[in-house]
Amino acid sequence: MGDQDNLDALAAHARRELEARDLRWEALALGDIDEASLRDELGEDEARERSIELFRPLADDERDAITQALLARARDPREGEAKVVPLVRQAPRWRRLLTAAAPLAAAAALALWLIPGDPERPGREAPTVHDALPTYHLEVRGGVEEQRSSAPTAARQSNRYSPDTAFELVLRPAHDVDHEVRARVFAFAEDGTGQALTVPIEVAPSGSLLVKGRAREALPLAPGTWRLVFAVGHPDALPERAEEVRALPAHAAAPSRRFWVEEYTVELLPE
Amino acid sequence: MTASPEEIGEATDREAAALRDLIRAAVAGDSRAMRTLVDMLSPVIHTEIAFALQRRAIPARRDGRQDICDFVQETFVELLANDGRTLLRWDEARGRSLRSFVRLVARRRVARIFRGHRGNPWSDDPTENDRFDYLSPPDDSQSRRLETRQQLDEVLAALRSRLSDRGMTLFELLYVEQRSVNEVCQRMNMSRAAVDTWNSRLRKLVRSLTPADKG
Repeated sequence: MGDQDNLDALAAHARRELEARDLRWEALALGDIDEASLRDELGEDEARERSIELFRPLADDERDAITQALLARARDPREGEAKVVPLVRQAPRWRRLLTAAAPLAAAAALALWLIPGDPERPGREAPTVHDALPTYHLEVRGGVEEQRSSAPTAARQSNRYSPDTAFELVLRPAHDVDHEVRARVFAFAEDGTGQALTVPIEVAPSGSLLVKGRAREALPLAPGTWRLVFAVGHPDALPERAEEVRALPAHAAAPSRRFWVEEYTVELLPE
Repeated sequence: MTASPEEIGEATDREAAALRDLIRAAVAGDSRAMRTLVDMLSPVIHTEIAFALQRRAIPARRDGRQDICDFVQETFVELLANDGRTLLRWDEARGRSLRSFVRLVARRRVARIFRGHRGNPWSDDPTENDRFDYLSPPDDSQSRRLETRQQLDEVLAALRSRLSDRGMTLFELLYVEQRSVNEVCQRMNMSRAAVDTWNSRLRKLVRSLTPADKG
């Protein structure tokens, strides 16, 4: 199969992608039609409401926040020639190995991290959208099932691991973070009992976190089915006890907006 | 229904010059200029990002709204990096309205975001974060046919995330819009040989992104 054929297939796919767009959503985002008209046209539907959330025009305060964030970056003198500060902090090229149960880092300026500033009040930190908690996505690799397939696996919700099976899990932020992040892992057994889990976690400068190893080391748990809950956020914001995350919905920010919650269920096989 | 923003946003030379002044003022820290720029371009960027999120967020029943502002801002940061270099690179003479150009940049930005690339607008170099990037297939000369929608989705996103602004424009003009090489040469002010060279590189890139046959 020639490269040209694949290139043509990709272009055709891109065209189909554009043709499949419902321009009514675009009209909503551009302010050309209102939500009520669109609701009438589309009828009752959960997906409709989620789409309306996505395409609702940016409100004044959202545009203000973006403007102030961009201005803050434009004025930041630390970035030398680049007047607009890149999203990526000029972080040292290090990678730290730490454990989820390691002592928490010293207190940081969490208030500045979470609380938007007031552009009308000089001296206060300007609000930066990126200082807020980003969305995290979970990707996994390894497991007994994947050994029968060459395809990379994204966000599989359940998987089986024998003790020597490779386990790799990445928590990836939707955008690079410019502050310190850590994760804590909690494991819940089928009977509901929960425990904090000590697992090796690598942190990349972008804010991605990696758990990698043989299942026996990466997931030091007894054979059985376990619901793993990952809390990701600023070190000072993370929960310490399993009870604090037991009932939290996954794939969402915690109600406090101080950490993100992801979960992944594993079945650990005996030796 | 409404007219696509691709059809609007045409600017006269005078308007284009005024826009460049606006961009320069914004990156110099003029708050009114920055807000004007945000008001002018954010709907287009928002639309592009929302379509990308719609395909992912709704099947997964996720709330993507909180990502919208983040991603809009990321796209602005890319456009305004280095004193607005990317945005100032827009050239009406090349046949793309400002909004259309911004759309391409947003589309590429979204592809990078979803592929987890570092958001460094100054470099396409691989970083240590590539260790975290599971979607990058090995560079293998024995490529196979891209058949499934998932494969096409993944490779198209990878391709967009790797292309420069110029590369994205060339890909859109030559392949997606299927314009003739002559027309593209004229629009992009490139020689035929330069377009051929780029085309050859593009094919190699596609090959490197295409998963190899196993056994």
